[in-house]
Amino acid sequence: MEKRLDIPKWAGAVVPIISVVIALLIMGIVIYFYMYSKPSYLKRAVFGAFNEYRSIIYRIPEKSWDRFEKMLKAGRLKSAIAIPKGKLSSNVSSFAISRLEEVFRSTEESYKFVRDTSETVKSFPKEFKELQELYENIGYIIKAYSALNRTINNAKSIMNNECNDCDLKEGMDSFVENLSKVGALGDLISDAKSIDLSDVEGTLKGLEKIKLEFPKEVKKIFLEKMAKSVKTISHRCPISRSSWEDLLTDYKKNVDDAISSGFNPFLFEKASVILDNISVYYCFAPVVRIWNNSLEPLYDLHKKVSTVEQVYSQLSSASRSLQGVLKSLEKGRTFFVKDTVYSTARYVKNSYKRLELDAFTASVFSKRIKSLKSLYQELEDLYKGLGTPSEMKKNVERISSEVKQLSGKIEKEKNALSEDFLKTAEGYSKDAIDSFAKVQNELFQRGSIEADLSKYLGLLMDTYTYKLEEALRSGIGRLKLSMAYSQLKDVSKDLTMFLRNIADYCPSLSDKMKLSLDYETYVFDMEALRIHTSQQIVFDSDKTKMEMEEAFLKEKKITKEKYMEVLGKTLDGHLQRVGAILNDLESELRDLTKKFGQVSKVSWIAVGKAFKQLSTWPFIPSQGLPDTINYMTPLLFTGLGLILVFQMKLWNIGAEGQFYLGVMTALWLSLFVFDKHPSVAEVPVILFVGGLAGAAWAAIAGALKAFLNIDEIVSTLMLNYIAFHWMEYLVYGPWKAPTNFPETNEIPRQFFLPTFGTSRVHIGVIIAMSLTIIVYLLMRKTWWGFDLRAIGDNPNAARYSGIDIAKNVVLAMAVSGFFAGLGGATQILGFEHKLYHGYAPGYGYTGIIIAWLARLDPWATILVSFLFGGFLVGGDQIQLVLKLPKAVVVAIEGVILFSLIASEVLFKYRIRVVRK
Amino acid sequence: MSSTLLEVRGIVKRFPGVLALDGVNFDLREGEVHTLLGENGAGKTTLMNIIFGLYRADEGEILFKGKRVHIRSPYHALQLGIGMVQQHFTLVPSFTVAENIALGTRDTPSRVAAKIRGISEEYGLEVDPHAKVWQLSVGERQRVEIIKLLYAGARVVILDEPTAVLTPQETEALFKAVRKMTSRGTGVIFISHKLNEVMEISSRVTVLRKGKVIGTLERGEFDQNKLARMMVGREVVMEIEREKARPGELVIKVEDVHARSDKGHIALNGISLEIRAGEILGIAGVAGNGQRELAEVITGLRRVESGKIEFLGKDLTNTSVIDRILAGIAYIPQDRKGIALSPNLSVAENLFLRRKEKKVWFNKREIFGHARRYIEEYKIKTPSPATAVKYLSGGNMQKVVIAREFSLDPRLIIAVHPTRGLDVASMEFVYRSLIKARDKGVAILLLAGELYEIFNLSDRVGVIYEGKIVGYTTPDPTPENIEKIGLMMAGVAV
Ligand SMILES: Nc1ncnc2c1ncn2[C@@H]1O[C@H](COP(=O)(O)OP(=O)(O)OP(=O)(O)O)[C@@H](O)[C@H]1O
Ligand SMILES: [Mg+2]
Repeated sequence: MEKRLDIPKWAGAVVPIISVVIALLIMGIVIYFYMYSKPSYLKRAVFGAFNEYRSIIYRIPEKSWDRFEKMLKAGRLKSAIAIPKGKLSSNVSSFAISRLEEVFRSTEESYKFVRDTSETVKSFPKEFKELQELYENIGYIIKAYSALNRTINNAKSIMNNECNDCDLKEGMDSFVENLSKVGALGDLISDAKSIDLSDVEGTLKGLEKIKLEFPKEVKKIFLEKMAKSVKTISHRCPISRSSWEDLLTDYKKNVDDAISSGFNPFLFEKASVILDNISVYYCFAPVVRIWNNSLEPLYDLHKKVSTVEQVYSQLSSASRSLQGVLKSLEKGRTFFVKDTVYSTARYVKNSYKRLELDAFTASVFSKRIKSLKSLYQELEDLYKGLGTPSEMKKNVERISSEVKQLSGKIEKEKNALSEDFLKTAEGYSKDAIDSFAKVQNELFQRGSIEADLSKYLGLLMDTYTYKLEEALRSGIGRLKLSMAYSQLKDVSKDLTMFLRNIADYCPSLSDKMKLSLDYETYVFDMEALRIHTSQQIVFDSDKTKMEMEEAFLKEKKITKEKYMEVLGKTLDGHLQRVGAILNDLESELRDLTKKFGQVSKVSWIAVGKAFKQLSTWPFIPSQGLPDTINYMTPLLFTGLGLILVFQMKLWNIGAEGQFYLGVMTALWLSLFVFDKHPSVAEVPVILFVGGLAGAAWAAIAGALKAFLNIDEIVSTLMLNYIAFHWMEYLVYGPWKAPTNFPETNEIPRQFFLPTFGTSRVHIGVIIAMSLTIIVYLLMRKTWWGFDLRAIGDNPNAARYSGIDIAKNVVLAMAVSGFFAGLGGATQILGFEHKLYHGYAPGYGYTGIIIAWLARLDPWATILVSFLFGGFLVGGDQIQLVLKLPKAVVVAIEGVILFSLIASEVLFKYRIRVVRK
Repeated sequence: MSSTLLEVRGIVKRFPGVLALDGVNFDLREGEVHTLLGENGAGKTTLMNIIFGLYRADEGEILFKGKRVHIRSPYHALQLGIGMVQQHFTLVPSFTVAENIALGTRDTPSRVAAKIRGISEEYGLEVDPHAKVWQLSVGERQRVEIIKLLYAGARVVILDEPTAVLTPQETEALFKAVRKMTSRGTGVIFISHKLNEVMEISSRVTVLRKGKVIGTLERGEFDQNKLARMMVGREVVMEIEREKARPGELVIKVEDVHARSDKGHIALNGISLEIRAGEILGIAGVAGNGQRELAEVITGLRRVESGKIEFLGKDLTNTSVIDRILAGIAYIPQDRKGIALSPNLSVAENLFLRRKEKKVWFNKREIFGHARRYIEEYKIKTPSPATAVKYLSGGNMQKVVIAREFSLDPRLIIAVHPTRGLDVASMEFVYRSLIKARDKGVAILLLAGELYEIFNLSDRVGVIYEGKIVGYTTPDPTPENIEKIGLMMAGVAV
């Protein structure tokens, strides 16, 4: 007996409404907790930074610490730090936590960035401002210069009567405007202003003159400004001789170790990292470059080692693959032998090619190269003589012995290579170490790095000046000017980046940027202090600090009292600043903590905002409506196809793959068949054939089901994977456009589906809606639709009624696939216009949900796909507005869908209030 | 007088468009068989479903052993001691008998098996506890259902048209078991359309009509005619008068046909028969001797392995089902819910499930128009043509099938148990319709288990045994003839 549903009609509507309400409640709770968890994270980030802060403070030499503590009015920090970190985290769901960790890490990084850059770049705030100004000025000059050229060309055209609507005024205005931004070029500006534009000939002459003057003037101001900043920079680079020494020692040790261990590449790598550090991290770039000549042998050695290392590993691969061949042959397997021998030959070839590439190795290893070449030849011969796998089976003995021989040869080559290298390397490294010693000597003889530094900066300035001069002299100049420009830009980029990092690090602090900057200065100050003191105190590790200090003072002929007074004053200055900053930071933290107290209120507000966005944004024409419609269109296509087969209880999970077939076919026709003379008339053909491709794809699963009774769920799913990877193959392979990105070319403009006015909405939605009518007619108004329903309801009865089930299964699947394919083709012509890797929008899978929610009714499918489109757009919108991560939004969407579908169950029961 | 086990008072049940029960009072005493009688759609099954907890009554109350109860579900009913054998069985086919009965109890199948043997012996309900259910015949399955109830200790046993699917011998065995039950104080509610059975077994009879109780009679107060009158409101003629058949041209010729059953056994073993226009050939035989396969072979639902089927002189062997419908073969199958109807489609759509026209457009209004005509003509009780067929009563479903097959304007009708589940009046109507069709020159193949139906309708009687016709005889209900048929049904050629 059936369970009867016996509820009034209106109750049918109540059930989904209730479930949506429940879903929205769940969504609210999810957002609430997410928002709630965010500040707790922030709090942690702040405390993290704060702790870091403290650790910096601890770096202050012990002696000063007492005084420092007094300055800090101890205890205030502790109370801030003592707030338990994980208090809120138990309420946070796991995705939020992972997000949290991510942000935490990025904060940590930005913090480190701040800390590290502050040691170098940030130590020159004023100078960098100058540099920045300088490079901005160059930007203006480029603009002005091109305006000048433009105007000259225009004037020429006017004189030759080639141009009627050429305007001189615009060019002149832009010239003057840009130049005035630079500030110091008053002569040129007044010259330009004095030109009478109505006299074209005069104008031209005037302009030519300005063009001649221009480079000289520009050069003047730039060289002046440049010289100034460079001078200040060279005076302030905070370096210590001892750290330089340490680095060099480390470096030397690594190189020594590497060589004595038989050129261990890992150690070499470490050494080169140190070299990098020397240049970047410690502001030694200039120095390193000055000594480039002496360091050259070291760099060289690295390069050669890595070449040999590469060759060595190529040979190892070759040897390994031959071993593999031998093993296969032993077991009588010949299938992969040919391929493997081939790749072995490639390895050998690559190895001698690599050696030949570089003059040094080519000369040192000339013998190796020769024997590797002949080895390669032998491998080639072997490869050619192998024959088919079955033929090989007959000659296993012979082949094995040949392979064995070759593999022995490769091993020998390998050993010889490393011996050869070691011989050279020993001699070579001696050179390197010698030159290294020279560097060191030089360093200590000079006694001061500052001199070298200013020399380097002079050098840098020379290059810069040279480029600038050349640029200006050459007239066209743009390129060289830009080079100079970008050099400067690089320098000041760091500054900008730093500012941005501060802003990201804690949004609520961004208005307190000044504070953060102060903090940075403080970091610098502290670091400078440390370096300063260590320079003076920690000079020789054999003596105690006190002794060193005294020795130092004696040398400088300063009394200890005096020194302490000076030092104390310096420290005082620093510490006062630190105290002020910490005070500020503390009150900032208090503020934040107060805000955390209001978190729950704030979170509820966010929930309300989410609801509002979800329910209004997607449906307002000036906001999300166009997107909603564009989402809806493919969903309607796939959904329509699916209701047709679902009512037959034919579970086509393959709309996704059928959609892809439509996509591929449309692209193929537009890019490779109709591409010669694209015309609008071909659009219907493309769409139709796209549909047919989808139909054929679905018919495969249909036929498997109808004739072999293979489950359509499995087969359609498998076909989805095939279609997807096929598409990926095309995007990566034959159809790839000549760009760096795995994507196809865009289809010709003629094939773009027309849009409504200027909106993004294409007419695909009209096609889909008209299909709805067709589906409705098919399902409800034809005997065929009736037959399909009969098959779905009771296949036995259908068979008894003479309905050809097999035929109808294939046919219905094909029609369903046609819709999905048509949807794919429409999506390409109307929306995507090209295909890129990883294109998997999931419209086919979502179509299943659409069909289900529409309860297999064609009209309802329109409504549901529209709402669903809105739902997706709304989800995107929440993501944007609340800065929710995508995972949260997708999870919310899942919850809503889940409760909608689960509510289906409620239809089966009657809810009744019983009074007793 | 023994005490009352179960009592229902003022039960009202409404379905969309139907008032199925309208203030029904009914009671069952210990140790009695109380029969519920009524035409198709009177509300018998509905009332039983309410007692068994499948439906809730809209109004009214149920008292069990004098106490008011709210029966929430069949499981609850069974816990109280109320059990029902439904028209469609509820066993798991791939489980053994013992496993099926162990379901829902705490006992292991092996312990259950021992108890089953006890119950079997006590009540004379023979069944092998270790047989898989799908291997059992319909009668055996019914026995399993009854044992299940007895096992659970049911004091009230409801049997909804149990005899419709049984052979006379099986019916006899069932009645024996029922008497055993009543002798132990169990009350049995019995539903049947076969008045002779009702006369035999009932201690009381309640007649329902259109959801209302017409009356309750004690044993001795009723006879067949009186009951039929109470039920339909008029006399019912059970013996149909008919003229002698005048056979015309040869309509169907089956020649040496072999075919296999679903399980792959040989089911038709070289069967041959001929039916002429205007003639009814009744086939008697023990169920499972190839009746179903014979019908399916002729209608194209089953492949013929060898042999030939000629229809109106044309070879139809292994043509498609639709070809045969177009040629004019109608088929009333035994399994109406499983084969003949699409339960979720409407009555109107089911009336056109098998059709001759080959139009493209499906005109709902036209179809509903025709459907209304059939509904009236065949007295199908349904709220509207748009009602899903699964909501009809058992008898009315059968009428939908009959109406449709007659409407095909056939040249040959294959009818398997055409009156199963029909009330006496409808049965009479179907008999008349078949005779009328015969007189118009339709050939009819009647495949029914019940001899009286075959005697009543057939012009010739053939007996089928192991996939072959073993002999023909006349439809005379003389003892000699019946004995002859009995011998042939046992495989003895006479
Ligand atoms: N689940 C249901 N939904 C709607 N109507 C129903 C449902 N079940 C029964 N009916 C209607 O209630 C009425 C009584 O049906 P019921 O099955 O009780 O009849 P019955 O007496 O058992 O008939 P039969 O002898 O044909 O089995 C019928 O008109 C039937 O259409
Ligand atoms: Mg019934």
